[in-house]
Amino acid sequence: MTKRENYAARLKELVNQLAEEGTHVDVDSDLVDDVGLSSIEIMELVEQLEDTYDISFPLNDLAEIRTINDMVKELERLVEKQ
Amino acid sequence: MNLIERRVATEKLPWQDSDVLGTLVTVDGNPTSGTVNGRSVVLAGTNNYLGLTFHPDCVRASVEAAVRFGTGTTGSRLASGTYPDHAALERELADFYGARAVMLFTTGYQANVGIISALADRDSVLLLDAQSHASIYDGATLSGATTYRFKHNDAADLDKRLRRLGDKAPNSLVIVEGIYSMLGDTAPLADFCEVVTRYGAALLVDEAHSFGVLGKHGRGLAEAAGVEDQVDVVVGTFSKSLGCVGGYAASRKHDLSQLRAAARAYAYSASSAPSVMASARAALKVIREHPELRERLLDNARVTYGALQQLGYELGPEVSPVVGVHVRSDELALDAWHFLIDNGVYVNLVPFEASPGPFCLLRVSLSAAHTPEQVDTIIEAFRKLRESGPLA
Repeated sequence: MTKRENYAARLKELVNQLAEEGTHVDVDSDLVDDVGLSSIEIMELVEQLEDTYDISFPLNDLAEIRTINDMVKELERLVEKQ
Repeated sequence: MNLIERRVATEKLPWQDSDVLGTLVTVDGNPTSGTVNGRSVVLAGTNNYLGLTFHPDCVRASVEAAVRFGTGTTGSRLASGTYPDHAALERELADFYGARAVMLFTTGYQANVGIISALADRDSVLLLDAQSHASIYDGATLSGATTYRFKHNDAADLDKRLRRLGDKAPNSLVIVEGIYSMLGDTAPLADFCEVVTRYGAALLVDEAHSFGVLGKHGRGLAEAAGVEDQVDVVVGTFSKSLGCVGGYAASRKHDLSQLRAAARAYAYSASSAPSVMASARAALKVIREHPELRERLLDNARVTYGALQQLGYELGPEVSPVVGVHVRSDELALDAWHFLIDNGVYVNLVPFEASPGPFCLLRVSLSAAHTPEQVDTIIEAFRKLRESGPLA
């Protein structure tokens, strides 16, 4: 598994925990429109990633993140920057 | 559809089809009673903490200034909008805080937006408490600084984030509030100061809800926590304890006057009306001379918080003039809000979107001007709400 695939799998797992049971989640699902996450749930998700990878997500970039794939890219960038 | 038609058609307001947003509040010649949607009520949702909106000294000063100086300045502070009362209020606030300089803004919102966007730029880092007021988030956006939020009231989380910044930490500004407006909790300010100092960062404290409320002299949480010398900038508002409208930034450490042109909300807004400045000056004098008002306010807060807690309501974590009552759904919250009005009490109805957690809030704010009978009316309405109303 590549690093990117690893991040995507971990994120999918976290999103599944937050989504309502039975919701279809894939890497291109829109976290708000398709998965139905609230802004509070998205911030919870971000906080879990921050603690897991010891990084901080800038708020400036969060508005651009719509899907798991977007989040994976941001995660890669931040971990690499460390 | 053009942009505006699309925007207007798709934007949804909280409680869109109810009467909440059209609520008409009429006060009855005093700060704590009035009429809401035609019902006589005790006003318990105004943040009028010291009840100074009808203080005779404030009203008199306001009227005299309007007669002498007119209804407005029609200019920004950098043009024709600095009148004697603006200059005097800045001096008096500087004296109150022991500050090197004070800058006035036309509203509290503008104070945060203006000073934050003047202090930080694209090369800076801002660290905001997660439950910061919208004006703080908006100031951060306007500044263009890289912005992080840390967990609410969590100095250990702030510590982690400053550590991650490495050598950029000294180029960062940490922002917290004295009293948080939704649940009434205070920041662990001494802990934050310790962390901020250790990393060589700067600290701004928004005392909007704690100015006039906390501290021996009413200077806010920084005074109460004994850390005034460690705080770089204090921001506050006149629209709560001072009973009028406006905002300010003050600093013991720095000469903020240098930022008068950089703070665009200052430089490009018309300054406050002279009548407002005059009433703010009179109210500041009342705050300085009448510490018993703070005692009365905190007594009212203690009694109300204790009674609502005993009734089984889920509240914010500590006694405060802001008592946030959790309600789990927006339908229940709306029904409960109407029930309270029908039982003679007006509180604020806070939607999910503005609440710090997955709940709506019935936000009660106490005032030093609430009489014991009015406090009883508030508690009795909440008792009925729990026993035979929508929250039974």
